[in-house]
Amino acid sequence: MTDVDDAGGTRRVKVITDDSHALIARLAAGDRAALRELYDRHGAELATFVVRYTSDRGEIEEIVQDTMLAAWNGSGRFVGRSSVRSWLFGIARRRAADIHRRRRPELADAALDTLSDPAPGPEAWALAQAGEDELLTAMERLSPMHREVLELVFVHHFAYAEVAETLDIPLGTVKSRLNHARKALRAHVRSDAR
Amino acid sequence: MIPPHDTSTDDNVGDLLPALINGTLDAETAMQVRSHLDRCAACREELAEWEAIATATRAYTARQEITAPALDRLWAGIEPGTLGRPGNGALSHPAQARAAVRQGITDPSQNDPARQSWRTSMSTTTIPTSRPRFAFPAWTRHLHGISTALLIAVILALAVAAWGLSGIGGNGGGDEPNGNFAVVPGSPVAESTSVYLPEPLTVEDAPWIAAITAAECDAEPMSNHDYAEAKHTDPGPLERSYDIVGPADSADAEAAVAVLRAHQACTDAGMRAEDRSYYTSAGLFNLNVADANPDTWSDYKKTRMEIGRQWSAWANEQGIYPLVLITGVETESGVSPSNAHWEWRYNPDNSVMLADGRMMLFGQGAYWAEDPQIQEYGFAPDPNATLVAFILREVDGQWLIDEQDIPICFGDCDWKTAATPTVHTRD
Repeated sequence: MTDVDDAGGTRRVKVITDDSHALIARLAAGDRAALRELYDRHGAELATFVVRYTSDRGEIEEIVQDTMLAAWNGSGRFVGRSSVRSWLFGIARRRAADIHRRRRPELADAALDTLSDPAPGPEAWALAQAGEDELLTAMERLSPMHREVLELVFVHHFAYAEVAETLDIPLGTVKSRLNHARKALRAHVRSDAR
Repeated sequence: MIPPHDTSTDDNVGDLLPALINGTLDAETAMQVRSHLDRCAACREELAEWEAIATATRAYTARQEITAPALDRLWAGIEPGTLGRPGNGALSHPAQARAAVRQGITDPSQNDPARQSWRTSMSTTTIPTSRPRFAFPAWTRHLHGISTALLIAVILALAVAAWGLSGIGGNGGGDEPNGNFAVVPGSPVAESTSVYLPEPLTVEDAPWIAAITAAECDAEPMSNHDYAEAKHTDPGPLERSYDIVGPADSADAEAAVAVLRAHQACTDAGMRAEDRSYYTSAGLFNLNVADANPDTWSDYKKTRMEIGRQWSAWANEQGIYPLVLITGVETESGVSPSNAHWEWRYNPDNSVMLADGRMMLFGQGAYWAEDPQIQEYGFAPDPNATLVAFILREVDGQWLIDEQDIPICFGDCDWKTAATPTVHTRD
């Protein structure tokens, strides 16, 4: 696995040996230390990921704990068709979505995906030139679905295939969703500038 | 291969730019993209835009990061005393696991009002919260061997349930897992199991279904013939009570599921192809029945057999056997536009909470229609009615069959009492 990090303006690329599947095998064999290792590797990013679904600290903890327990219980059936990360994120997301659904059902993802481009036109400069505050405000106004795909790609460094597995959407939809997110951001930045 | 471009953003390159930024492109593709960027001013602008988005996304997320102390507390809720054997072994009792998890959390919001509300709702129904009387369904007269196994199962069920209940009542956090399914009185769908099926199944996972022949179905004790007789018969009042067989050993479970499989696979049972997702509840084991050929009965029936097989395997893996179902303890009815009565008979004692918050409800689906044409496809709510398992999810306090949005009512339902019942259709 390749991980990318920005540090002091210098891009640092580190290559991590992907032994995640071996870790899951240890989990399935009942190795509690493996669960701790899994948690150390993914707990923080899972929690960070889950924050986007709920601000309730108790719910965040419940979701991450449920996810780890589900990984423990389900490790024997993990056959490695997906990456460990997208498997865990997928579990967490479904758990979070369920809690979220109880409170406020949202427009279905599919429906959101078909929304027309809010601001067509070659206005890449608008985002590139926007200030940090402007962009953060625009991020706030972005739909949860669009923030989700951006976070998976730019915060958690998921490959498109992993995003597709986590969100349970086709690969093409990952790309289109990214583009919809970008266009929506453009629209928000532009409307703020008016 | 990425074509050279000088003046405008290439769509293919545009799609790859976020992956270039996050470092997930393979080396060769990344090199091609960079080479293309050297020649494409529009692409460089787009890259700058994506970089701004990446920076904004990270900054936005950084404001919400979880602190290290919070992570420590979170782990504390996972580890101590919550884990049984993973994978193919017996689970720790999930109720114990969850109780221990909750011990590590001090936030009172964890009491989860949503769950409390449906528990309260269910406790006010007429459904007995104690185990009902055990009685064998009429169809077991065909199956003397199975009946014996079921009798053993009942005895085991009582013993195990009594043991399991005594274990749940106290503080389960420090206990060793018992690995058995048990039912919590008064809280029928409490976390009696907490199971997540992480890997979606597809028809490709089960090539054996192609080997099933019609002759095999004909040899089953409950054939289409039984249904042919039952199809146009008024089912009469719903007064049968089959009750739970409950926990049993593997042999009992296999025997029971063999009956279930024969039952599901070898009767037409009014299963119109377009109903398939409903009766298999779409979400059950994530097996998408539409993957089978929807135009042929055989594939459909074989797929349902596979569901039965998976169900058996799953129950064995978990050490729980919620197999030979129930029913008769409560009846709910709705009215569809075709004047057909939909009936679901269920016993929530046979429900399990899934780790993702949904609920799996095992029950008996029954369909009765006044319209003769629909009768032709319908099946009577008799003992031979197809056994079903629903995956339910809760939306605003109501449990719906997942993906179908068909409500299941546990308490006072408007369509039981309203002058104009709410009409729920499958479309």
